[in-house]
Amino acid sequence: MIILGIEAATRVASVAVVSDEKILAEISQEAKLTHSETLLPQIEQALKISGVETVDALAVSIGPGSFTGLRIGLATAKALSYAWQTKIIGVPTLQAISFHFPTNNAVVIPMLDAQKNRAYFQRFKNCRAFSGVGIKNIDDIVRDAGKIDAEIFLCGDVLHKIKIDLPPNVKIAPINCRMPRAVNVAMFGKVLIDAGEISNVMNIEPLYIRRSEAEELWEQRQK
Amino acid sequence: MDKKILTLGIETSCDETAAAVLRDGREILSNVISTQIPLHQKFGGVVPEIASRKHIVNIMPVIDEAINKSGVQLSEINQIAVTYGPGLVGALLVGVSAAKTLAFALKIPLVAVNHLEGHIFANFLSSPELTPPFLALVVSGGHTALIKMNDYNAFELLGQTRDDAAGEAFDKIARVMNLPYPGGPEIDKLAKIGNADAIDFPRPKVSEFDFSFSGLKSSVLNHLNSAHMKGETVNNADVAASFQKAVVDSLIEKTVDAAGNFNLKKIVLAGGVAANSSLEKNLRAVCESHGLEFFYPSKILCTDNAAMIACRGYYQSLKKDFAPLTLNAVPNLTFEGVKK
Repeated sequence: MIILGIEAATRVASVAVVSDEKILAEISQEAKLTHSETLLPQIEQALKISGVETVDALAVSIGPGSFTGLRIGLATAKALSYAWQTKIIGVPTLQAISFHFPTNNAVVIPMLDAQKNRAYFQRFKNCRAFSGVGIKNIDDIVRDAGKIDAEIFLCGDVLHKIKIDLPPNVKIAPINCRMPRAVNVAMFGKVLIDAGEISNVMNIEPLYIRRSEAEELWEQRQK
Repeated sequence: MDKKILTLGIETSCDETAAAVLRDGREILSNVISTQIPLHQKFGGVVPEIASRKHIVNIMPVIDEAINKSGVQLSEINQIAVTYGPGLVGALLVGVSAAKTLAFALKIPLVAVNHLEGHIFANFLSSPELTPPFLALVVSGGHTALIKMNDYNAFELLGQTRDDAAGEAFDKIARVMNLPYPGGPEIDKLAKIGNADAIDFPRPKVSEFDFSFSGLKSSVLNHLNSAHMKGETVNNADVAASFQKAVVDSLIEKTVDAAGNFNLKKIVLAGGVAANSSLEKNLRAVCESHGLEFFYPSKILCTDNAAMIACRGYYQSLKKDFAPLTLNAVPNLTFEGVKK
């Protein structure tokens, strides 16, 4: 089975073509250009390198993350799914990042920018979540991590915003394991396909976690 | 027989998710519009993030419905035309991303369409006999402009608003009067029962073929405010009618002047505010009395729709004006390539 992974939840635009046993191609970039300009040319190139015309499934990172980035990735994946009549699988972004650390000996906490010094986060051990997706002040996430009795790796796109000293058990992940990558999205996509968790191209939407600011303000005013 | 060109149009610039299929330049096979107006009403205007969230859910069902209703197969589509500006950036990006990807996956050309030009082209769909040259008055929420259309792909911007767009003034005044969103049609409704000569609001004085509506807007708002301060009751219907007349008078005066100046015999009305009944009725009457031919899109083609985008895209494709896969949204796009 050949899976095309698409990842645009953060500043990283990443595309991968993965077969059962090989990464046929992966193109990732964290540059100034917008996802709107780079993502589709990356897909074109990755398919060309892989020597495939179409794929058996599309795995797309659905968040949480940048609202606009998520929609560019999802609109792209939906249109491919519709035109190629290929199944589409929505992959939670934090879960995909956890695939950097397939080990029982550490806890990994991916943290993605949720604005206003907050991050979306979740705790994983050996790629399995043992908490729900939360949203919290960045330093508070780090402090709480210090209370867990395990070696902790922090990753994601807000590590430069940590202002407190790291607790002794907490480490910053090396740069190659920090950010979301499409190959991880494709790999978790395979897990979901095997579990029969296929999404519907007509109604799949991003995992925003946060509502729009206008809605939050409106509800505050109603109270 | 020559092969007919099938164009799929996609439009997501503001609060309508739309897709349409056109056969050659003018035959609408399907025209699907999913409006979000009820979602935004409680906020008194379009909330960009909510609009984008709705577009990403609606985009595939709307495209799918447009294909199904057209009676053609997706694989038969020859090219895709998409609005890339002006509009809300997050909203535009949903349509642009989907359109680019469909064009890539189907291996067909992509055309990037300016939404404002699209509004003018709505008239080619409503009036099959219409051909350039003509004078177009484009009036929408964000733009007010007079365009000389020399040919399908040759425009000349004669004048535009120096401050607020006409539609902006309508929306602002409607909001102050506590009318529901969208305010334009509400003012139009209210004006029908008011006296248009009740209040003499100032007619903007701007040189050449430019417009200005911020002075008029302030004057109406001052009128409402000072009455409120003095505890007087305002006849909203009279204010709406008098304000609307001032806007319509100024639009019509400049349009007729420009037609005479450039010796154009056809007048085309375009844009969301084209749906205003007073503007349509009065401009039609003035055109008749001046011996000018008047064109006006049907109601459904006045609103944001994808058929007009497909129509504009079709004429761009005739001169091989195609877009690359790196196409981005341009939220502040103006009448592109138009010289003043």
